[in-house]
Amino acid sequence: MYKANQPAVVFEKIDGELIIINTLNGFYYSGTGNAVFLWEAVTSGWTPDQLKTFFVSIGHPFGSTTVIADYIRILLDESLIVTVEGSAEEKQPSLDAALIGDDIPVLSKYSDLHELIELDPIHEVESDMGWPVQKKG
Amino acid sequence: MDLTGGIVKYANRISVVIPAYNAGAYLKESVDSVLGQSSEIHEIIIVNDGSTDDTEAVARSFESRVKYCSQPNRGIAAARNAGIALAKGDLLAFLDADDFWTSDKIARQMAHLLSHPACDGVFGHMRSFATPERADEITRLYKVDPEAAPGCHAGTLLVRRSSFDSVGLFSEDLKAGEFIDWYARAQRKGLLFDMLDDVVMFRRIHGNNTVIAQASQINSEYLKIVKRHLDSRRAEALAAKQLDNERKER
Repeated sequence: MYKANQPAVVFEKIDGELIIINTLNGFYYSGTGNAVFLWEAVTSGWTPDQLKTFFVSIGHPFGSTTVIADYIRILLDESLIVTVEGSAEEKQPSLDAALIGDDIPVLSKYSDLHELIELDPIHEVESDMGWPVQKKG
Repeated sequence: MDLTGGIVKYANRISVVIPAYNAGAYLKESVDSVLGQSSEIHEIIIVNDGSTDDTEAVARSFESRVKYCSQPNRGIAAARNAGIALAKGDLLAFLDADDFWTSDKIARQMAHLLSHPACDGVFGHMRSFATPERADEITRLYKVDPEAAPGCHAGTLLVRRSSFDSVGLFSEDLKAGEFIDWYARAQRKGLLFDMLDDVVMFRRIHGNNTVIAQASQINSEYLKIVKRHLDSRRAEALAAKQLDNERKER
């Protein structure tokens, strides 16, 4: 299972667009459509296997491709999500399949403001992760 | 450029804007660092943003060496904007009331701007430090890296007034990140900024820094700034494309 790499990573869906900021390096990301859907699913505890099963159950092409694994790999590589221990709860398909398009999830990465964003301290990130952050405990 | 009594004078006039909110404890050191510059400063404008401490008394203690104004508390963007409205210089610099400059900050940056006429503004490096009276507490709570870091920060910037005006004032609807928003707009305008290797500012970490004390609100503001920046870039790209298409059709 995975969760968003908080508090270093902050995110919000604004007007349907997912905005993610990694405050440790100042990079930011945006995505729409399935990039949003998969982000919300992954960060709310859906495992890759559960997602695959879900897509198979609704006859969606993501059930037979590596799209989900590829997307999760990107999120991990960019340190936007982290692995968490624990057994995955059974997930019931609760989303209307008709709302899910078949567009490949695309997360655009931007670095043009990183020198400014990374300059400001953010609460409660680990003490070895940037300046001048509040230590835990 | 002219040398008078060890102070470098330039044909350009430099205005320094210092917004201050409950900064009585640190304001004197901040203003002293501006008065102690090795180059001439035309004016120092202190904007008291509705402080409830002795900020006004500290500011007024500098008498005619500073221009003082006050307003109800409206945030740092509005306070800086109020100072900019009063500023008469053709170069602008900003300093937060809890930070201070190195004595040659303006001289180094003026030299750079004079030799780089295409450059709109120049930043410098900065160092952070735990405020001495609470050093133990601050270093226990926060990691304060004393290494010099590139300071893309309002307090390290010296910018041509005409360039600043082409971007516009700070966005007063933002509670934080107003400088990131301004810099993003400057980038979209195509302004050119350089970064000096020299340390030009010391940033005080005292635990009540806006970015520390209001972290969750700041995260929300940063997300809003980024979304606004992306939307503006797309709109500008679309407008440019439409203009290009119209030209081709003619």
